[in-house]
Amino acid sequence: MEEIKSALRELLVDTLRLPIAPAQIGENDLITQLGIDSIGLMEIITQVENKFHIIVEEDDLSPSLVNSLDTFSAYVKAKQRAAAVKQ
Amino acid sequence: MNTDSALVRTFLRTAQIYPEGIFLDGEQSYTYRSAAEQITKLAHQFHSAANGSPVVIHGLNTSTWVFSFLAARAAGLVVIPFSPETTTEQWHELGETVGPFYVFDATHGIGTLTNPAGKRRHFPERAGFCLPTSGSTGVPRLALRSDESLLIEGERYLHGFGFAPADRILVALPLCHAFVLGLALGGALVSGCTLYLTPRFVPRVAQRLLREGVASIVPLVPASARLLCAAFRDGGAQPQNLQHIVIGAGPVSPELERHVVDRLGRVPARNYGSSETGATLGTIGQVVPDGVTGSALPGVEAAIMGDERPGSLFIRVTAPFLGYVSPTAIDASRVSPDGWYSTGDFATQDANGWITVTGRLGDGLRRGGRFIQPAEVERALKNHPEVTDVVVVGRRDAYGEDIVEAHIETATTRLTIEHVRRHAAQYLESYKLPTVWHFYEHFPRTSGGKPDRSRFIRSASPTKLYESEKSKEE
Repeated sequence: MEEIKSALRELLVDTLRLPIAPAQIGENDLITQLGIDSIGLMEIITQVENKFHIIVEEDDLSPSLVNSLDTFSAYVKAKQRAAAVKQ
Repeated sequence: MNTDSALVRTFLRTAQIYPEGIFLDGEQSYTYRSAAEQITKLAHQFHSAANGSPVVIHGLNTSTWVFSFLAARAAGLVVIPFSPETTTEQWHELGETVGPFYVFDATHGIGTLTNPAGKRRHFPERAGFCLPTSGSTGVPRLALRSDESLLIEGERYLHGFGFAPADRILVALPLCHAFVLGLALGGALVSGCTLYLTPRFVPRVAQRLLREGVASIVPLVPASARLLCAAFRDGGAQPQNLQHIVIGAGPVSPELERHVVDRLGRVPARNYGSSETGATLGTIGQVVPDGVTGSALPGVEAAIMGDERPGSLFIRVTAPFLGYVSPTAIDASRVSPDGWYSTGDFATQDANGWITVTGRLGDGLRRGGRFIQPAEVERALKNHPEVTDVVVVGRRDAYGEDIVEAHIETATTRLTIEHVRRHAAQYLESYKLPTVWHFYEHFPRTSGGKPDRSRFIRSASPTKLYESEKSKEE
């Protein structure tokens, strides 16, 4: 899970073009801390889908998905597992 | 239905001419006639439940969102569209500014009267709706506009692009966004065209719908245009039936324009405006020189004031905004007695009349839709013990977004970027931190002793201690 979190941190910095190191991204309240709006959310989701080879369902699209690194990484991990089982 | 509202009158007139025309499409479809029935029902609800208070609409793009906007107007109530990302602080500030307000969750169709004991705010007779804005200062405010201003904005698209009843606008970006509201709702009301609504912007959904040919017009912001172009990179078919791609709320870089032409098959129209004025400058999808913002849209006057170039951009429109709402007054001082509104932007104009917005005149930076107040960043940096003075300005990056650029005056060469950045991070959210840093022994100053900000904004090179590292975008 830590590996996914670390990858998510890097992805957030790159996607949002943040002037900080990935390690400086906290665990929670990312919407406010990083200034993520609806378009920023879609930019992040698109990059996550490409990087982790998963599909984020429309029903799951919500700011709460990305607001906490724990929630976000757990979702990515679950999606990866589901994709692996399908194969 | 109460027809004091020009928006409602226009809607009803369009519904009379095209009763079976499709007003809204997407998850559900409504003709103008059936939409009028829904609006009437909601108007009764607002009339009895809102008790004269303004109606805040929030939620995803749904038919209920559109109905509630028109229903609130039909009930004679001022409408305040709020984005789904509204913070607790913004809700609180709203209560202090407008007193009681009725919150309508358009996603779930639930309404609540909030702050009922607050002091009721009286709005001028012509007040139609308020749009949250940071203006040029970066300080959040409510810009009050009349119904007529939205209709006139719609007419700019009607006359500039030729919106017609057969047109269908794909509305995937939030309707609470000033650019989308003006183009989509304003445009539909005056032209009789259809709004195809999706709850939110999802690139692959928009891609599918455009390939199916559901829309002839699609408003985008630069970030969503990039995402859509990336979705079309799959090598499949280009959009069908698409006539106009209109990119607003941010500049169109040459690279973005190339991607849009390659993947979506059309030169995008550029669009510039504000919550206060609606769309005012733009193009209609013709090829124009790189960096150009556009020319004045039909019915808009634009002027660049001041002796230096770039100068200060002023706009004059019919039905200018009524002012900023505060708890005790409506502040209309940004509009001169003869109707000129100061945009807060620098601009130039070439021999062919093309206007190019080159930067912000004063405060208020915008990056990815987030507003950053330079004064807040300056305060955070200035309380570092080795910093004697600070100026923070914005500069455009390759994507056309503002980069936060900090100019630091310090007597010591020991001060590093890492020192000041780490210091500022204690006080600022990450996205507000400067990306570009310059250090000086002595700032250029005015005769009054203040930093000469124009030297930093206009890219002059005062004596520097050392150049900083720059962001990877530059």
